[in-house]
Amino acid sequence: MRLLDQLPCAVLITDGTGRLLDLNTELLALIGHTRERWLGALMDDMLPPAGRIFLQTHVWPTLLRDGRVNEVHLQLVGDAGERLPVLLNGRQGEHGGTAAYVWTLFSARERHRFEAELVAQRNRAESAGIALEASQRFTKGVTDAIPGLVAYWDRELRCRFANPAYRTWFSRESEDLLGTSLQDLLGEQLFEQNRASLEGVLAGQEQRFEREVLRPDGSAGHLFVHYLPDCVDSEVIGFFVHASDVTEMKATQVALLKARFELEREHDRLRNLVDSSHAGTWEWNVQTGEVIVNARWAAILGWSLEELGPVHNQLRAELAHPEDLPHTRQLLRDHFAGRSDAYITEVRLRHRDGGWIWVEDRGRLVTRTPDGRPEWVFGVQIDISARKRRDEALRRSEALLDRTGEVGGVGGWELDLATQQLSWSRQTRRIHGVPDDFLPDVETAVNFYAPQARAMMRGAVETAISEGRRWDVEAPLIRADGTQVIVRAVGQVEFDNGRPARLWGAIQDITEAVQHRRALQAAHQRMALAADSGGIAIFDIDLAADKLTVDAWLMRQYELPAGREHVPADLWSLRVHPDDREALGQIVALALERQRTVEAGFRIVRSDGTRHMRVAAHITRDDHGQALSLVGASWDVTALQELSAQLAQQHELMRVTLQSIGDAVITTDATGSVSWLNPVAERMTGWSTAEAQGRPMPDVFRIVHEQTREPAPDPVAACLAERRMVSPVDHTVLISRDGTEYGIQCSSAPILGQRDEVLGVVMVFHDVSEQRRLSGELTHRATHDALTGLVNRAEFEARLLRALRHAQEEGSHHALLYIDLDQFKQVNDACGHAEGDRLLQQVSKLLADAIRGRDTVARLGGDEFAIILEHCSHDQALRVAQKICERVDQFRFVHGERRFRVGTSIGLVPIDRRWTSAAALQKAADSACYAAKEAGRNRVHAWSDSNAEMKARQAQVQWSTRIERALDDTGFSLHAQRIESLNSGLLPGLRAEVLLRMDNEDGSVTLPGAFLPAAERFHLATSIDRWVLDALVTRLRALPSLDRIDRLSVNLSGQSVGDRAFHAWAIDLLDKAGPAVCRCLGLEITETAAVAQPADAAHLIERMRSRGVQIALEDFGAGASSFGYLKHLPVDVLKIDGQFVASLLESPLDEAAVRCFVDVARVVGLATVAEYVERDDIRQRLRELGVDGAQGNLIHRPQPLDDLLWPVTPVRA
Amino acid sequence: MDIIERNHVQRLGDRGPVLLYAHGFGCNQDMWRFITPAFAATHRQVLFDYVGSGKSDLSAFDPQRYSRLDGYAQDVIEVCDALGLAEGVTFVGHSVSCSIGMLASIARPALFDRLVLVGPSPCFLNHPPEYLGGFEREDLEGLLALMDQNYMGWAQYLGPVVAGAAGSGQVATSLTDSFCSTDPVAAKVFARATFFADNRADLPRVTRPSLILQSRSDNLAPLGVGDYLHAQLQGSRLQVLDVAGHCAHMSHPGLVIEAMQDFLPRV
Repeated sequence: MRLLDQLPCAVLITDGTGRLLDLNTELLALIGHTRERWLGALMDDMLPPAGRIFLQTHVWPTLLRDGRVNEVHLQLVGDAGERLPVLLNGRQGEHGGTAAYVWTLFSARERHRFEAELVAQRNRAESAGIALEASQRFTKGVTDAIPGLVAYWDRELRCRFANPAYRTWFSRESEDLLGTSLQDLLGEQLFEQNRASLEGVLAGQEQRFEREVLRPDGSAGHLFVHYLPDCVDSEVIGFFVHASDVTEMKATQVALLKARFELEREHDRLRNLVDSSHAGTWEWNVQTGEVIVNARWAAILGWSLEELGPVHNQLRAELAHPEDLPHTRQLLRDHFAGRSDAYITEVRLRHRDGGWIWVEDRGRLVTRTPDGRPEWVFGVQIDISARKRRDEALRRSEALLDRTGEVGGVGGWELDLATQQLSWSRQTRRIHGVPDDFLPDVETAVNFYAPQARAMMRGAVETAISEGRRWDVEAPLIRADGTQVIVRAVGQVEFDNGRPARLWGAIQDITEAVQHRRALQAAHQRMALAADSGGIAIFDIDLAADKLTVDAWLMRQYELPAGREHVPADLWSLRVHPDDREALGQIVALALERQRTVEAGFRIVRSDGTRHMRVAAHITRDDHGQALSLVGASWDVTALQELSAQLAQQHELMRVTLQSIGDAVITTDATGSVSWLNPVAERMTGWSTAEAQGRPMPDVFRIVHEQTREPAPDPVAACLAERRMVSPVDHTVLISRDGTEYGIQCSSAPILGQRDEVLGVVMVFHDVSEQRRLSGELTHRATHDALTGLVNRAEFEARLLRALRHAQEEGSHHALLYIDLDQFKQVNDACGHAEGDRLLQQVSKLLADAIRGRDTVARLGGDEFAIILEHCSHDQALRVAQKICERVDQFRFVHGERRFRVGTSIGLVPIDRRWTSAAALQKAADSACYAAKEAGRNRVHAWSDSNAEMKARQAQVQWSTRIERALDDTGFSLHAQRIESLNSGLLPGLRAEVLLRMDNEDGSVTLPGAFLPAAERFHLATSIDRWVLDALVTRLRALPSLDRIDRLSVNLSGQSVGDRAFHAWAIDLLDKAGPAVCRCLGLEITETAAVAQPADAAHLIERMRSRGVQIALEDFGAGASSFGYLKHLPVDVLKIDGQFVASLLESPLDEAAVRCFVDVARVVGLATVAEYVERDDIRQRLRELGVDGAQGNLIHRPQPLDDLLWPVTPVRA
Repeated sequence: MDIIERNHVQRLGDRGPVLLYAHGFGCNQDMWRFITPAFAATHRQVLFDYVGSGKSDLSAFDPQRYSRLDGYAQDVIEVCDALGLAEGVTFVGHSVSCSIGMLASIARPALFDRLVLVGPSPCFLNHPPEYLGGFEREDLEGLLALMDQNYMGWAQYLGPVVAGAAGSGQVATSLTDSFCSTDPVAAKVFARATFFADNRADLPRVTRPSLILQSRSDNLAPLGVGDYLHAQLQGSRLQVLDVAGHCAHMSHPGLVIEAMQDFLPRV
């Protein structure tokens, strides 16, 4: 066997033009044909046309230029014309003393698939842009024309598209709808109803359902809805909605259905009654729980109907075995959902006597409520306890037999002689190679034996029956798949009353044992044969007589004349090759002089050519030391000689090959010690051949598992043990002597000697670090958020599920945090999206730094984050959450010269056994996070079992409903609080801040603090602002004269400041009202709202002021005050926040602040008004400090606006 | 635009007649490195890379222009103009550059003195029965797929896609130098221009004498193609080199130098 053939990769050697000089068997195995077909051919012939072009235009120029090419992807053409992807390496080397090119090829199916995927991905990315644009145009054209409702919602459930019909249905404007969340559009209740379908479509499942929906105008409509997931790279990025309004059609259908249900119910009840004479019957109203049973049903359980009294479904559940309940419920759910025709199960019920009985329970849904919920189910129940007991006993005995059989490899069988019925155990079937349900009969059983054994088997059975003898034989058996095995069959007869009744026995597969035995016998025979044969010729030379005595072998070896017992000694030397004669003569002469033995190798010339011979002889001497005779042996070593010459040549070829291939090669001896490394292996391991020689393989080739870092098993040891080629498991990393790491792929093959003995191992490996890195990147990209590098939502959910499963299975404790940034929107609006992204990245880093390595931080979308803390108690988790909260609080986001404070609201939920689903956990965390927000942001809220958060949230929803109602039905009223001039006291004209109150049914009022958070959350703040402004303007316009109105100002929410649609509406309102009204109006904007959206604020302020409306900056000093803003925000009045006023006299700091505000206001020409003035001494001090106006309960307690307008309008219009 | 920079033009020697070397598809001017030393003492030698290949200025690559061989011929002429060469140039082209050189000589016959064509083929596709270029249309699709798989993807192209827009440059640099030609977009355009070209009709319009160097065994330019060219090109000399492969000037530079010296006028 040639060494080149033992390399575990394909090798070919060509000249500089690609003509093949040599190739190994591994390559032949790939491309087929014979070695001879390829020698002298062009390597181009192995390639398809495209590969030839590539070879000539890319590979050769590079190889000829650089002397090497690495990892070229090509396809070879196989024997049958199939394409075989390979990786090709080429190196300049030499062959037979001249320059040559050595090529190694590795099969590359895996890598090709991987790279083809990358290429495809790139091509998709390229074409996606163009295709997207075209398809968007097309889709819009089509959807606009569809009478149905069409919309597209993205993964975050934000509207990305809605056709006119969709907008009309929901009475929304186009720009109003885009970006709206689905939850906001549908409302809480409808959203909940659709939740399952939404989850389904986001999981990639198409959804179809029907739904009764209240239109915004209050009328009910029936929709047939279709959700179609939008998948890109098998990830759902959003979904299409198509809905048809089928209100009228539905009404008819419902009426029809109702009628049909009634009919069916009657029909079924009758039929079931007839069918079930032996059975207990039950009728169950799923909605009410009412159950009607018959006397038989009660009797099965040991009761009479009277004793039971009225039955409720609760009772049935209590009677059922707890282990059966989940399955039963699942079956019922399936049936109700239309996934099964009937509900059929076998369950255990508690008998009156306390024991369990088995019943077969069957039921069928016969009616549904008008809205489609399951209503009446009719069922029957049969006692099957006896059957169950029998089944169980049978199962147990069979199972026992099977287990015994498996362990011993012994199968059993039994034949009933009266019925001729034959039964086989499972193991017997396995030995015969037939399936477990195979039914044997006597004839087929006998025919499984090989033909020559059938007669013997029949005879054995007959003798057993007639003479009562058992049998124990070895026989060949042909299995069902045609393979032959040898079995040991034993059997005996059993008598009933002296008559043979049945046969039974066992059968065992003993093929392996027999084979071993036979192999042993064969080896013995071979040894005996070997002892007789030889090839060694014997000779005896009498030196004195110069006489040679030889045996027949020697005569043949040296072609000596036959038929003579003695020949002259020099006859022999005549045969010796002339070139070797002299040397041989010298050796013999020298030996005769003073040695006891002589050994020599030489060539002889024979009629069939030159042969290499070897002789060894013993020298006999006389008393004087004189040599008398030579007795010795001679043998032919030609074959051996040729072999070793060939071996030397191959070794040289091998060495050159291995030196020049691009892969690393290490060889070892039979003990696994390193014997040689090629240059690449030297570079990668950091060991030179000289240093490494003789060392155990693991010293030099240190490999560990990529992830666990555990030492990986030594492939050479495995190869030596298994005597065949092995490829170690993937994910191994080679650590070189200097610590450099390489991801590697390697394979080893044993080097076999002439007699197939293992001489050593050759191992080839190459560097796949780059490939692994890319593949890692791909995985990373699929599971991580591109912006922040954190885990993405999908991966987070997978990990959450894993944590929950651990908690359920092991009882371990983990924690889940939901984190919402408080000020993200402000930064995003004020500084732009790029800065918003930067903020998210910085916060992400902060979060990741705050937790342990094994914990998970994920970005769920937008500014929402989540953390899973594994193996973490509630207290620990709370501390971590607090720490995060504090760190984010201390953190400042810097944009240019501006610094933003970013708080977080954190919801904390323990992950433990109580949770049944990850969805419930997430929902709880979301509620807790929301509760943290409600409680004033920048804090942690730990979820507790009380569901308080859920209630709080429901309360919010209720508030929103109340607000909407108040907006519709004038459930709001306007109050006002007067503002006093500190210079001249109360002015003759009315100057006041208009305040909003919600009227309660009992006549009391609710202050805005209670409902404004809900209004902001449900995006109702702007609607409220519209209502207030509209109400105020209406009142002013209704006044006969505005003479005595100085200024009435209203508060604007931040949402309205940032809402250009509101701006347009307000401008329109004021223009219609006219300049006189405008001059009586003021708007108060909080400093925070103005600073967060400066562009929008400036837009609004400019348009309002140009119409004569006064603008006040409210709560000044409460937020991130900077006087710098005053330059860009041209307001009229500065309202000093109450916190500076309340302790003005006690706190020098507050006084300094107010003094400072006043100074600055004076410089930029603003008036100042102090809020919350409650004490007279404070009013006095404010006056001294130069504050222009004051507002507070000291000056005026708020009262209804109309009451204030009355005195100035003595005559009502 | 600076043509010298755009086409990465290199000049060797300052005396003697001009040899202008044009590389083939998949290669760059490096491939002439075994030939140029032989003429260093006697000739002025000019080497360049086509726009899109080698070290040319990739920003100058115009997919429209370079989708046809005329665009590359324009490169040849512009290089000559930029160097102030107006006559007496010997064009030495390999593979597809042979066709490009012929197109350039048709456009500016006065500029060229003679043409050395190493492994020429006026058309790589089969047009049976009268012409067999060696390949079918779908073979080219296979070639484009191989190119995708090999050099181009890994280098500039896939790196950003895989690592994300903000990905590091590590991927991009590691494999860039594995082949002579590395820009994916340009190479694909060049591949299409090369293998879909059919310049058979242009052959009779070449007026300058030419030397056809044909390998005895060359998949890309079979013997029949050499014979065809010889028959169609007026004043051509066909010399079959007893070698295999498409890059005789790299695998057997001695033979090519000898043939060139024989063909060129003594200096």
